Amino acid sequence: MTAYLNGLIDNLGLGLSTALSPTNLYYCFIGVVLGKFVGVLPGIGALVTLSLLLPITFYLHHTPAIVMLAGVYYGATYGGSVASILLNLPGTPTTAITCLEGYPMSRQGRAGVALLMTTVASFFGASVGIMLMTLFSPLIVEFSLSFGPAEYFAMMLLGLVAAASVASEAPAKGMAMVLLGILLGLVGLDVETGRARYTFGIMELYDRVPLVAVAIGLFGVAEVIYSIRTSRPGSIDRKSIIFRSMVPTRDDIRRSLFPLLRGTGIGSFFGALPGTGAVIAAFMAYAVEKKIAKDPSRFGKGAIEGIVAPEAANNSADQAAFIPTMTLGIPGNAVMALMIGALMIHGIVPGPQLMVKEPELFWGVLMSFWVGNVMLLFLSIPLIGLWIRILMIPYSLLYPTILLFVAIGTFSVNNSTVDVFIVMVLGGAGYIMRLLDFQPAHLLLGFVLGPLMEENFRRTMLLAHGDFLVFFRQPISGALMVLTISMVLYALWSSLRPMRLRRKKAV
Amino acid sequence: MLKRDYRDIIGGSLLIVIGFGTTWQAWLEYPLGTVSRMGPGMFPAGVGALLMGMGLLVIVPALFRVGPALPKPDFRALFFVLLSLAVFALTVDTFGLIPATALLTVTAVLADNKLGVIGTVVLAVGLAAIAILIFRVGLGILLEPFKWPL
Repeated sequence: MTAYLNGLIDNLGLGLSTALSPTNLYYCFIGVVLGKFVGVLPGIGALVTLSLLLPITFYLHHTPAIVMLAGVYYGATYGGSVASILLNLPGTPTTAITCLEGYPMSRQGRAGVALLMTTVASFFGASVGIMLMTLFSPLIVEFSLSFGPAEYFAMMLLGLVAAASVASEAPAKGMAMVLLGILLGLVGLDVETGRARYTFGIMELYDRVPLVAVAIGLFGVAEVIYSIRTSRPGSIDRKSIIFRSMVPTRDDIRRSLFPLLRGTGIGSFFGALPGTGAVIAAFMAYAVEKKIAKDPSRFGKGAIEGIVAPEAANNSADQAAFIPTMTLGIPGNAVMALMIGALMIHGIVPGPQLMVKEPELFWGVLMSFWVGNVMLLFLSIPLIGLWIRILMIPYSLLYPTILLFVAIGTFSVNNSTVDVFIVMVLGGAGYIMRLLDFQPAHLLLGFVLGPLMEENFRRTMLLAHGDFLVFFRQPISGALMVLTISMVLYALWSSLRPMRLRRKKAV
Repeated sequence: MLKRDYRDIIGGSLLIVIGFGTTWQAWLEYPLGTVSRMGPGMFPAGVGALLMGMGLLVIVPALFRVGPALPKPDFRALFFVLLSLAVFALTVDTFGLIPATALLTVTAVLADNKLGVIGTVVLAVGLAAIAILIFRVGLGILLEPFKWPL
């Protein structure tokens, strides 16, 4: 126990000195400002921005690269609530639920209070998430260092199945996207035999489809095409948001205290699970508050509990999502898959070894979360007028800018025109997926994990002489496989259920 | 509302086509190997088969439920957005970053056509400045502002 604590203190010191180095401070600042900026803008979220930043990380050292990308991610969640409260339009999906109480509050001239309380709740939730990551990561890593290829395969499979089926309304479509991602990840030379697969004679594809092209095509280009016709009206009463209007009443504070704690708890739990994450956590936190409220009729009319709890939940979930990503190398959502991808671009193998081999990276990134959240606290409240003005930037100016970043970013990675054409193809494909209601985010998860899964699967089969049951012989992989199978069965049952219901009705 | 969920029927059919193509290709072209020493074809063949299964799972329930109206693709946005990228890719190497940026902007603006001529020119100039400042000055990426292919 004392050894654990001493190690922890050493590591936190190392992390803090890394996070506070001028380079990392600078990129942390860039990350959170950019995150806050795109979070405020409806129609651009963390995923698009991270995709566009991915090419830039080629020019950075790995620690500042991850520090910056992470900053964009949690910064966007801070920013998203501004649009939710003022315009009734979620800036990011994670803050969608904040509209329900936040917008009524701003109609009542209490936008200032709402903005302040969401910022405080965000900061509190994020802080708890970071603390949990600090305390539990070393234990998880220690536990998982002995994992063999069978355990890895089982873990990745569980992560993908959970991501595709638990949170999704249509598990079969989610799984299909994951499989499609895995297939896309197989394009290129086979690692073991050197055989070219699915390259269609295009030389540039021999070295796999670049992650940058997949992310930018699916999220950058497809999103732009999809959003162009979505008009976003709205007017803001700017006068209601002066500094003095931000002071909450004694009643506001009293009402917020327990929702804050409950929201944080819910967020930390769902954030760490693969496949759930901040969106679900925020919805759950809101539902819980509404359920246990003494007077549920206040909800929908600007109840402060209904913004505090979800905002604490989505921010703690954002931070907790890094736990499986950084300790096990298993991303729970598309943003985390991009983080893993960024690590791999820098030649770092994600997994339990990361913390052991790259302590500076792990603890530096972790401590940068604190730094970034403090920055966001100071960026959010005094500069509120600036963020409101950003909210009014029309999309017709924004999307050509996004496309320019798409073009230059993709082109600059390999100085290759072919990469830009790959992005075009994937952008068109991503648009079709959006139209047919498939989630490209699941595809990205499969794409990142696919090659690792194949490698571990083949290695397991080689070691076990082709015996499939090997996955069930060891306790850990066996437990993971049982969990996976029960999830698949549940997903099967729930995707066939609507059919049966309808049949009954027809009779 | 439509009598069947045609959106999912189309989606599921596409999945089956892709899954079938993948497995077919792996089966014919890539050595499958044995389970204990897998060749390059085994894993993709399996994944393709699973994808076909998912396609069925998407289609079958969709046949028995009412569905939303089919989505209307925005062909104009699709066309000009993709074209703007192609224009950039084809011009950046021969004419340089600034002309490519200007062409991209003009093409992209046509996708929703809300900016007037003046707005487009201002945006193109602004974006060219941003491109030079961020990518060339800020990140040191070697992209020539102007080139002449002669």
